[in-house]
Amino acid sequence: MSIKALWGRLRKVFRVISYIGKGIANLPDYQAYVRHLEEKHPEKKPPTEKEFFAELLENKYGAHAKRCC
Amino acid sequence: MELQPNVPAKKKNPFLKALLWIGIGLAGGIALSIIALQRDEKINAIWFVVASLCTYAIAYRFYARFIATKIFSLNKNNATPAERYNDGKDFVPTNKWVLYGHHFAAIAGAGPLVGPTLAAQMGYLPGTIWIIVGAVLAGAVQDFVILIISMRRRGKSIGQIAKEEIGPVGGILALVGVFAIMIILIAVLALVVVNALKSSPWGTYTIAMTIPIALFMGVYMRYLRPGRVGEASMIGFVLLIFALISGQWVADSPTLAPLFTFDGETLAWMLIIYGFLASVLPVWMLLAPRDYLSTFLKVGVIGMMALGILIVLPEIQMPALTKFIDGTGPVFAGNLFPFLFITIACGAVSGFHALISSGTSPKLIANEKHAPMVGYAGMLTESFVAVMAMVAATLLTPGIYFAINSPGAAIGPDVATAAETISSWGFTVSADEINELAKNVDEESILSRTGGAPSLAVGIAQIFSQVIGGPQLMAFWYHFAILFEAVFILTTIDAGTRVGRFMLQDLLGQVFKPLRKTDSMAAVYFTSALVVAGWGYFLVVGVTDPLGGINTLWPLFGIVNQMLAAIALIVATTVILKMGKKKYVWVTLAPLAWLMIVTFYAAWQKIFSDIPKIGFLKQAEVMKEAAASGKLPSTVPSIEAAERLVFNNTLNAYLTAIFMVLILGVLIDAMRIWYKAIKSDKPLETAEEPFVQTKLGDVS
Repeated sequence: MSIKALWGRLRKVFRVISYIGKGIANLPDYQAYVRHLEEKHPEKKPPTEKEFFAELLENKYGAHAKRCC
Repeated sequence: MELQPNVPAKKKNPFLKALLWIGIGLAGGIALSIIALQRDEKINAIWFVVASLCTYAIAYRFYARFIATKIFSLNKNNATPAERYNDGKDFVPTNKWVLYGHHFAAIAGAGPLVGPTLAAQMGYLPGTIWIIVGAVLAGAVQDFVILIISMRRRGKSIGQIAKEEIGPVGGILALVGVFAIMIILIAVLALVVVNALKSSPWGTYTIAMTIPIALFMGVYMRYLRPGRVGEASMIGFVLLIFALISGQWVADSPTLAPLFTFDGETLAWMLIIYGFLASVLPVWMLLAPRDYLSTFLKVGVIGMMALGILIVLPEIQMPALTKFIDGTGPVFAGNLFPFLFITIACGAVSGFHALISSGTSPKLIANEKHAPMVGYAGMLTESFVAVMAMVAATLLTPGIYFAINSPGAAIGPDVATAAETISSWGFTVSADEINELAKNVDEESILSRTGGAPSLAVGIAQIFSQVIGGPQLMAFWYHFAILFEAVFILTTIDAGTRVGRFMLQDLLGQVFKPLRKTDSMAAVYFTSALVVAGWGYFLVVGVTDPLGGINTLWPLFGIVNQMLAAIALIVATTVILKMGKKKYVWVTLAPLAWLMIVTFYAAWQKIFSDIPKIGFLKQAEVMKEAAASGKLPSTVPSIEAAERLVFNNTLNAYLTAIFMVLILGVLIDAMRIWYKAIKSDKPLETAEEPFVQTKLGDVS
């Protein structure tokens, strides 16, 4: 296997791990959100990654957050 | 990454399949009978693993599928909220395995670890059976059914569903119930942390270090590399391990160790101040980074625990049943029935899960057919965590188990007396053995470290040190386990105080409008202080309780948590009846009836029992007489302390009574609807959303 192919495969594995980790921590994907806005609401200006993350935390721990034992 | 349509599965041989399930059934049956019937020889932990996993597999394959098809007719063509309301953030179709992981991480906490540890005083058998059977027939059913109901209603919360399906009274009562359980839950978990850190410089230093680590992670995720949670968590984890290692240097240093050595009351006040700060600070600073770190740590350590048990295959030292099934045990007071069933709440059935099942998970589920995997199997996994906690508690020599978990009032203040008392119960242990264990885990003392965390940590350390490091690493693994528990308990305290504050702002805001503003400093400080004062009160009472606070607080928590489960099952029963599925109503009605009997019987005893260790009112009366006559029991230091106990016990009695009235209120309100539904020939109208054809393709 060439170095390039190996690198490509490693990146794929990393993407899967990151997808699983983000999913477990319930962390929406920024890129996916931007894609969603472009497709469904092209009139809206997408937030920066920083704004996206700040708003996400506010939603997650704001007035409707849930917690367990 | 998008969801990939699955390749259609190959046709399997039905005969082989039947054979496989018969095999699983046989293996589970054999393992269960070994657990239940073995008396003379010690049994191996592998039988716990086999018995639970086989039971789960059969329940998942047959019972969950029965509920899915017969009652709710789960339909892979009906679009879920994640598809209908897809906004790229809150509502996103998610891979079913990933969502299962998220759901499990959200429902699992300290509960399934502490309950089984306490219940082990009656022997391994009753607790293990309740964990397995309770989860399969009650806990997983509750989580699963609520998930489906919420999924068919735009991912609405249990409170909203109660309001829509039962009525406004039931809805408000449910909300008050959730708030009450939050206060008691935080108090009891904080008490577990205090008891684990008492006079432990290593533990206290490590936990204190998690605060600057979380602050650093917070700055990293907000300013340095916005949104890079994975990177930040990785860095946080490395720093955490460094804190753990340097903790030993602190503990061994004669100048540093005293700086991190505190008694219970001081630690309690520190936690109270911390809780207040965490509730008013912006979430990105402390709460969010701590939460991410603890989620990954939790999933990782639980996986390690399962692996460790499978590699080491420890022998169980505790007998199947001890004499303490008669209710005279030192760890918690009360008979096997009903108290075992409220001591183990999370792990068998937990009302709190209804909040998660009607929270994020129903908004992320991609297909209705994924619901059994997320709702039912998620709870089975938590049940398995509880089984592992039971293994970790019962692999200790029973004498050591009782030395760690009995309050000072039961076994005496020093090692020699304790060893003598415990040996006189029939669990032989010597003072040397107790001292040696304390030395091995690098703690001043392991005596009367109630609350379950230290005992579990010793169990985990015994397993892990047999895999990596041997006896030399015992102390490291012990503090690793304490750190792991404390980190996610602190996360619950942070987040719980915050959620409690929002609820209180909402409730009080209906009376006095300005309190509702979440951006008003005065309103935020005032309501945060009220919430902290609420759990802080129970925490301080628990820490200073001469009988050991876990004794009082854990049953109270168990009762409230199971009552919340009862509310969830009342809502579920109401919906099933309204759907016209009278024939299958026993699926939720049977666990509901069981929970009502157990919680009401336990609550009744907690209030009115003649035994002072159990009954709040009797205890208050005994202390009142003691204060009046001046003849105090040896464990009560002063007249003032006795008077405080009178007040605390009376308050606890009233609180328990209020909870009972609350649940009865919801039940009566719901029965009104049940009557209507049973009388009607056709289904009643529910708030369920109408069918919409999915466009997501085959994601089964």
